[in-house]
Amino acid sequence: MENPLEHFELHRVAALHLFGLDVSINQGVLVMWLVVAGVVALFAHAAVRATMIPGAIQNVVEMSVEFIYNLAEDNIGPNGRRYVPFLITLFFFVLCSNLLGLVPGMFTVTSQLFVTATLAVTVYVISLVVGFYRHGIGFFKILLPSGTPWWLIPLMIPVEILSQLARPLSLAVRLFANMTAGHTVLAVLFGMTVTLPWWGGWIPFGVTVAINALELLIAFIQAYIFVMLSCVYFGDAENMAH
Amino acid sequence: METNAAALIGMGMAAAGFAGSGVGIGYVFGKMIEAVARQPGSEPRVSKYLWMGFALTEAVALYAMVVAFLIMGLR
Amino acid sequence: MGVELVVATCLGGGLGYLGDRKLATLPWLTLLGVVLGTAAGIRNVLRIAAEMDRQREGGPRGPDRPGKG
Repeated sequence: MENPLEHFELHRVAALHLFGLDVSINQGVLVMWLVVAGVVALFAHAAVRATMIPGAIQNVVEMSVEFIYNLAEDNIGPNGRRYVPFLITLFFFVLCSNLLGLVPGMFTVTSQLFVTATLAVTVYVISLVVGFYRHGIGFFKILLPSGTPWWLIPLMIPVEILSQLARPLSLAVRLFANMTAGHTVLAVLFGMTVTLPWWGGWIPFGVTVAINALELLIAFIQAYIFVMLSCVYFGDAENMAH
Repeated sequence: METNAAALIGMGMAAAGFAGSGVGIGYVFGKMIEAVARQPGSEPRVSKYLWMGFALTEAVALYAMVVAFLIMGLR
Repeated sequence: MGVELVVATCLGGGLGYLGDRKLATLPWLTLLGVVLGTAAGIRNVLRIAAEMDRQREGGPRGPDRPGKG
């Protein structure tokens, strides 16, 4: 049985060099284009000819948008409206990438640490920029919760710096680890299904089906958790609630 | 036994530490369900402890995974 | 959410390890980094749990209001 981690590797499909940088197209890029096309098609269908009484797809899209709008307002407060387009984009990109990876033969874009790290770093940089823009240099006060006794301060500052740095890292690693672990388990189980003789191959097949269903659930949950934690970080930067 | 084989066996044994965490997480959430079923109004107060307990229990499982990766890396 | 705790611990441990290699003070800086990282991770988890509770209490307006429970 071949290495189950092999299907995460990226191979060049079309070589492309731009200004000396290697921007060749590989499977990941192709699937990302597919995800973008899918999301744009979904929203185009739902919004371009929006009717008063929504059809099925328009209904689902409206429910999701309202869901994220409420999430943003709950966590960020009255300014939450401004983040909603970004959050919707983030949510649908992560959700569709996760879901598309479950289709047999497709590549899961979010199972690459670079993709999730890019998204997480973007979210964190936005929260930093917003924090400095709103509170000026006093944004560093976020490192010291109110009412710490003076002898605890030198201990709290490294801890707070670490906890701030750990946020984008954990955001990236959580999504990456969940997707990679899920697909690796599926690959291993399916390998077992194939190599066992016909009378024994049904048990791993049944388990594969069950774990596929679990992966579907995890795709939704991980997208929701990513966006919810982004909202929490934006809310922290906006309100400095400590 | 050559180091490669020993390292792989060690990684497998380290990763088997997930088992206890599975039992633990099930226990934590089961107790939470029981508590909320007994007194539904206490849900906001108990759920604070729920997430704390879940995070710590799952962290032990992930420490086991980190140890497995350490063995793989320092082989 | 368990990932938060472990990532913070590993980050602290990793930074401590790098500092150890530069200053040749193994293993103390690594241990300090792991301890600080664990503290930071637990802080993160508590903060997120508090946010989720605040969100849940302030958010949903369903039939189970706390007054009726």
